[in-house]
Amino acid sequence: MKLTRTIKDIPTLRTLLEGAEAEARDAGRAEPGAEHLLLAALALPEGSAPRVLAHLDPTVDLARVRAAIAAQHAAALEAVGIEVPGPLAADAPGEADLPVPPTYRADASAREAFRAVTELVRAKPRVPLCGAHVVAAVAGLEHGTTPRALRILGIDREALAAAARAELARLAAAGRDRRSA
Amino acid sequence: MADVVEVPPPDDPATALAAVVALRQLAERLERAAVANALEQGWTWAQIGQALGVTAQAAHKRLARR
Repeated sequence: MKLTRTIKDIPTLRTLLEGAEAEARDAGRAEPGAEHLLLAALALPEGSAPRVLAHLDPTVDLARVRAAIAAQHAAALEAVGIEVPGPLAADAPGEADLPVPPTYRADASAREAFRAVTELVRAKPRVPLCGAHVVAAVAGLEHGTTPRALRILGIDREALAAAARAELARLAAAGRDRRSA
Repeated sequence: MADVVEVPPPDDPATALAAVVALRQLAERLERAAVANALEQGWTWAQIGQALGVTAQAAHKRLARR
């Protein structure tokens, strides 16, 4: 992914991509998808992604989104007659603490979401990369795990995209105020 | 086989496709857990590869945690 020409905030980019990889690994996946990017965005310390979600539903946080993703997979399996009694251990005991070097690979849904993030940053370069960019990007995905998990949470994709855009506009205005002060 | 997997109605491709994704995830998790267990029990990558139907190199590249 040639992101760094547009996205200058490399520490946030790294936190985001490595966070998505960690979420994917915890779920037992080799490569992160858009849903793992969303989870990583919700965990960013700047807090714009959780603010966007809380604007739509104050009870929705990182843990509930993570649970909704798992519930989505379970419901999909149930639809073809497969019941998974409990979460399969993703790691053998003691392996979870091993440091894993980042690969910066991602599946097609994550790459599509990241293309949208890059477009958003390019359109308004004054707002450095933040979680709200990722929320706006994944809200644009019509099919796949992320929109299905959002539906389980009762979150409307268009309302989510609008809330994310409003947050980005707020951050842009705050940046302008800081610069003119 | 006595048990037949019930396939979702063909008019709901979104559910069927979501099930495929969830099955892949389940298979990946099962594979990782199984490989970790096998390694703990002293299996070699050659043995694991053979059991999975892939080469030792392919198994190690995809599944080794390092």
